[in-house]
Amino acid sequence: MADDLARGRSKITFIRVHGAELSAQAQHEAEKLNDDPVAPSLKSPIESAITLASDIGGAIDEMRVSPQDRQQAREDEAKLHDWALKARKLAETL
Amino acid sequence: MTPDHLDLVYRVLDDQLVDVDGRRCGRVDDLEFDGGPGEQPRLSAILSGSGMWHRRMPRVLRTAGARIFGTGVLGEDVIRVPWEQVGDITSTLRLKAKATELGLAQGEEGAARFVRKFPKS
Amino acid sequence: MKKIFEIALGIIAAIGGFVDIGELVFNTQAGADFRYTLLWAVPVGVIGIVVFAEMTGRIATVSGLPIFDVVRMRMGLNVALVTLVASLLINLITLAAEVGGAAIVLQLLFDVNVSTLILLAVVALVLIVYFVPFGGIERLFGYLGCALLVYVAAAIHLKPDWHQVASGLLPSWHSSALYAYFVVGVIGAALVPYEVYFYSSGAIEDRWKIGDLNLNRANAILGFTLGGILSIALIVVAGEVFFAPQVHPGYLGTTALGAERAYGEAGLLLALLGMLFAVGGAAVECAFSGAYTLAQFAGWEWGKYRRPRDAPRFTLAWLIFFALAFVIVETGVDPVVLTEYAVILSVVALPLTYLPALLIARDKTFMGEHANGILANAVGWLYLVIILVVSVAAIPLLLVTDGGAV
Repeated sequence: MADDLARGRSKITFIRVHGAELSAQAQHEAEKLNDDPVAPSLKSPIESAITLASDIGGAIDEMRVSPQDRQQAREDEAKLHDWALKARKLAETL
Repeated sequence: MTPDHLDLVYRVLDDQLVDVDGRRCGRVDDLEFDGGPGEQPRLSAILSGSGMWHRRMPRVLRTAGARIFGTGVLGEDVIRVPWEQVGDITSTLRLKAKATELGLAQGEEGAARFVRKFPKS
Repeated sequence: MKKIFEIALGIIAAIGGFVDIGELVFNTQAGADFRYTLLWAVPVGVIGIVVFAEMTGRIATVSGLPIFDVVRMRMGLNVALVTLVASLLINLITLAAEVGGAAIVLQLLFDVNVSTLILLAVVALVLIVYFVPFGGIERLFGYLGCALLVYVAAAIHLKPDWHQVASGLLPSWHSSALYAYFVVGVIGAALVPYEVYFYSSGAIEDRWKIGDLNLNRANAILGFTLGGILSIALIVVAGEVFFAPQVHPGYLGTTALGAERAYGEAGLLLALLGMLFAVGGAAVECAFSGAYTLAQFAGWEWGKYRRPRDAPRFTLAWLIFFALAFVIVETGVDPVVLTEYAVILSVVALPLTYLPALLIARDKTFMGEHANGILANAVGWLYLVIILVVSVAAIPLLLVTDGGAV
């Protein structure tokens, strides 16, 4: 979605609405991870996951606020790509 | 036209009733027979209405069925249509009179009074 | 010539009308989670709906009675009552999912508060259904639903590995509950009973006679088969776009993103337009299907070809279904989650409709020379087995996979 926005290939209403769904999902995951009881050995990866979820939600929200800013979208796309890889590595270690 | 008794369940029971104007007006929900002990039973009428349904349900559901669908009060949740009013029996039972004349239109009349208030109804 | 034109129009409407929210959700998720390895389930579902719809269309054309009418007549009160209750419940859940889906698509297009859009969607659908004749409704939603053909174009444009796509069309198996769940879901999304009730009653609405048996066959075979190509395209696009980054699509917006990746904003708009009318058309079919089954069970007058005042209880029935769906969606329940339950429950209830249809279609005393031939019987019985297997497996798989989440 970020890639399409950076290349001017999307629609503002779509970015705002679908972005809101995705960012709410990220927020929800962060809250679930925070609220659920966790074994001491998992404390550190869970905290990393919460940070990732919050960061992802934040980047999506940036795009929603300024969907016309293609440079912002390009930067968010790079960050989101990075965080996706981190999330995958984190999931694999658990 | 008098179907033999083997055909009644297969060809008549549960069939759609259609009046002389081609309007659907209920189903054959039960059959009424004349004839006393020792006499040949004769099909005398069709009974149509949700009030007959509970009698055909499994025993454990009959009380609930009667409460939901009616207990079979003639003129209210069951209408009696004399067999002489039945014309053709094809995939439906064609009646010789209008549904309104046979008392089969009560439910539709009530709903129609409400729907007539809609535009272009 | 007129007949050919009529057949062609019917096929186009069937293509656009084939996809509903069930296909949008299940096919996209199937492609995202398993790439092309579930493609074979689409033809299995499509052949099933072709067989089912053709039989019920033939029954309606020959006897002048739609399938539920015949179930009531031939299977009696109790079987019909169980089928009625099951299908009304499932119809209502499906209708709510479709209405909710339409509202979501409208929101993706216009970014207006979703509560307002749910109301707008319901009011618009009710007005269209009330004022537009039956044939017009079929054509409106069917033709505009063809905007979803953007997914067929996208599937080609994204240049998938066609060798892998072809392999996916051959049955394969993964020993995972999630895979089995999606096999059930993809087949179930194609074989929904409400479509058959609508199709069968539609044959009466369109006044099909014996001379229209070929039209029935063409509509069922060509229309649904070509519609199945849309389903395949949804899986291929999802496989190309979402499988590698491990995206699990839980939103209709994600499905639309698939078309955007291929064609940018134009692709997105066509996808959303197609979804809106496909899902809207499905909502109409659901509401009518419920009203048809209720009216046919009780013996009421029914049909869009009647004026509302001449089929008043039928009219009130479909209005009430829309009202109930509105209430359900306004509670905030996720239409995608509703869809998953609707499809799985439909699969469970499927034998209740399919078996009577098969028994009646092969009954020579009822169908005369138009009863099932050897091939139709063979395929018909084969599909009964498939349907029973899928029906029995559905609920356990729903529970074990937590609705496709694990």
